[in-house]
Amino acid sequence: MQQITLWAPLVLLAVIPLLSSNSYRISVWTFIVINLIVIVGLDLLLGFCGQLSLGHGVFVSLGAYASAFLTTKAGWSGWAAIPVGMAAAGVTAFLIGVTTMRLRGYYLAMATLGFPVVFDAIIRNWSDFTGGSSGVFSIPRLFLGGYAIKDQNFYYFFVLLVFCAVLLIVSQVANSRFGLSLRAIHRDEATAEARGIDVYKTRIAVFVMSAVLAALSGSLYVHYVGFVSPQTFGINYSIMLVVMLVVGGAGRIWGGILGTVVIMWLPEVLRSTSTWEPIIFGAILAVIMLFFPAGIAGLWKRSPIIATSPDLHNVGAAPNSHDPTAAGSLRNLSSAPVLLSIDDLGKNFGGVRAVDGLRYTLQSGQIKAIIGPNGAGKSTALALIAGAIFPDRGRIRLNGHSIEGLPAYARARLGIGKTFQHVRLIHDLTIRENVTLGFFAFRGKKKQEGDADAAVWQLIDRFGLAHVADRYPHEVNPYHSRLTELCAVIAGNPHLILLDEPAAGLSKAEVDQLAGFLRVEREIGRSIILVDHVMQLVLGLADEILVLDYGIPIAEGTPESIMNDGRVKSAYLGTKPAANA
Amino acid sequence: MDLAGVPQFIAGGLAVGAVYGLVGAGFSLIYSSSKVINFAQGEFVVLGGLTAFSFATLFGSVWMTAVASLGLMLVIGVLLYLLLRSAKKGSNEFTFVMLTLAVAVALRGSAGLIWGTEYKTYPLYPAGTIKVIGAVVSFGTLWILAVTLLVCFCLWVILYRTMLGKAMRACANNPLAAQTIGVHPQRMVLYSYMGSAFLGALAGILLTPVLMMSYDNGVMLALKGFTAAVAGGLLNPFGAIVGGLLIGVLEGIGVGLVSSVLQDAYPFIVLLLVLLVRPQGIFGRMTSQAGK
Repeated sequence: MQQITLWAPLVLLAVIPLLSSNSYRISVWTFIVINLIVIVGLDLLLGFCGQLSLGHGVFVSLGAYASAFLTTKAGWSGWAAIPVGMAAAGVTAFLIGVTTMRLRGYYLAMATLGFPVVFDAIIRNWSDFTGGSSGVFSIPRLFLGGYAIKDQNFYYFFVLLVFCAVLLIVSQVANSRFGLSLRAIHRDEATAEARGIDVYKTRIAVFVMSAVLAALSGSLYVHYVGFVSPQTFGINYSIMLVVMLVVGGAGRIWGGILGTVVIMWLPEVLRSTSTWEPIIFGAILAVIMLFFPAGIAGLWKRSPIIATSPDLHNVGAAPNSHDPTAAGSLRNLSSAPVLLSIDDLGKNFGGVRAVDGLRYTLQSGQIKAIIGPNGAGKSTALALIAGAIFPDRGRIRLNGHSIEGLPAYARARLGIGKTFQHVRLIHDLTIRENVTLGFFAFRGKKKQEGDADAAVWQLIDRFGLAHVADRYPHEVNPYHSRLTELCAVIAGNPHLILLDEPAAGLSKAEVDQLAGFLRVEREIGRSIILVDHVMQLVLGLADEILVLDYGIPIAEGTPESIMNDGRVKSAYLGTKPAANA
Repeated sequence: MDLAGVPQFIAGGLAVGAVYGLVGAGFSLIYSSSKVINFAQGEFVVLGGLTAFSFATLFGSVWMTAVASLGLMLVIGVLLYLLLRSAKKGSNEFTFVMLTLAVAVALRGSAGLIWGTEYKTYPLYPAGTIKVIGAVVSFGTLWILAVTLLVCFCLWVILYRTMLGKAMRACANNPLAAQTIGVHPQRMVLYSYMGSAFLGALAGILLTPVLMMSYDNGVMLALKGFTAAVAGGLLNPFGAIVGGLLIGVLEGIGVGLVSSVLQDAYPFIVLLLVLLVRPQGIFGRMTSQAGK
């Protein structure tokens, strides 16, 4: 079904020249297909990853100028020039990405908006190489078997073929685990990091990828038109690319294709009013954003979107076994009896001392509960271990290695999985895809070729989620959301699971069930740090309990000893402590 | 390189820098109130300058021109706000940003239709110069700096000495908490759009007599204003003005000592450097949106 929605437009595009012998129309369709190469790459960046680039015309320009310069001035073959342009665009995108992708929000958009202005200045300044403002003329056609490709229909089919190859690659990427990570980053960075995704690098990678495709498009353009100037791919072109994508519907590859066809035929329809073009484009963009924020493709609800349900066979490396009895499936890092040791950990928020002097150790296969009144610093303690925030002082050692400086995704990959106090799932991924996302924590470990599909199913089945596997998070009950999050964490095969109030809002029966699942994880050899107010869960599960009050540990011991501790009672009930008053 | 010219380059950079600062302060106001980067900010400046050009030929009087042009831009600011408000409930940041972009594209197109592609200017400042530490400073520069200083003072009074300003700052800090104590967050957003349009128009009115204005200057002005705002810390309008002055001076020195062809590239390089080295801005504190 997905394949049909993807390839049907291609078949349509292929028969177009056969239907009309009008050479002008064929040239418009050629420009459309050349633009589609940029658009599908831009969709990966904007639609999937959520990063807006308003300067993609520069990458197209880089390809165009590389081809123009190398073929006219340096006498290269057109085929040799194309990869040079692509490489130049890739390097440029990498440099821009390194500076702007670290930040959330629209920094990339602003940086890329200024980019064409700078590029323009450089082109005009280096007129010896670039022809200055008048541009480069007489760029030769591409040669095939000693002959220049001059036949219009032939070139049309040639660019269509290139586009098919690009589309194949882009849809593979979109449907891969990488594509899944892009969509996760778009919706919720913190969750993506907690699943072991390196948000920064992923964003740079996709930006570079889209820039490289843009340069390819620029090369194909100049070998068709034979001319390029600084105005060809200026700021208006860059903005028009975004308009095409958004009008068609970003995040569904065929939406961008549709938008491009619509927007590129529009000036042909509105030929008499060309001076009004920017105003009309602005109005179209505004109307789309106001009434159809998901674009034309968004009018179809969710059905024919390529990349909604990735082929899980493509998902990539997965653990060989998730059989709960196979303790061997756990990474054998945890040979040391002490898994986690925390030493004098402290964190202040402004004047508030959230955590102070926290120290404890955790054995492999041990469940430790942290309890304490509201505001005692329990969630902060978990966030510090997971790397969502960084400590002001103190050490965190996992298997003897200091990890307090590592970012969250790196800790996830070292085997620390965390669930959040309020369940955090990626809302436009299904339950199954959310669980699959957990495999990211596996990357960088020994990559065994396993059947990820089977592993995901085994997990989902074990946690009783099979009947909701293809639903979206908002369509399932809170208990199933909790379990999905836990499942995603376990998919990463962690040594240590951090659970922040997993039992909140669950019924008594559900809490018992949850406790059962967690016991199984302990048997496998995982350690768990559990923060909760639900004593049914804490007392039934914990091997040891640590009590925090105002950020300071006040007691530690077995559940029995803690329940009888005077300081604990006073912290909770406010009675005067009997001892050390 | 002729270092003797440096004071002159600085003096030249201060005037445009102050204008970039005003644009940046406009970015900062809207970003503080609604976390939206307003891509139409540069168009406010262009339209401010171009309408002032038309009004100047119509009225002849400086004050009438300024009042008419500022008034018109306030209306446009309100219209932009109303457009953004009419977006579907639950729309995300992206929708708003794209809407400001749509407005920017449409405004730029309209300006091209109305005023054509030629550069426009009008006389505003009295002729004459004074000499300060080896630099010849025009009265125009002095006027721009004086007006910018006045704007800073007014902005400070409004934000820190009136209930309205306190409400705006409260909203910027935590809209939900502000709402519970009786502040109307949407109204504060409206005021920020009005303030932003006002600052943009003022920047345009001040800049056009110095540098001339064309319908398509908006992108560059937006980029420089944004760089000013980011350099100063995106949430702090005063930081934006200082950031603008810095960028103006750097641009002046760069043009004077290195190359004038790359004039428009300097702020871009500054932007990338700031994002790389100190993303929270010179005066900004590390906040959640300022990365790791």
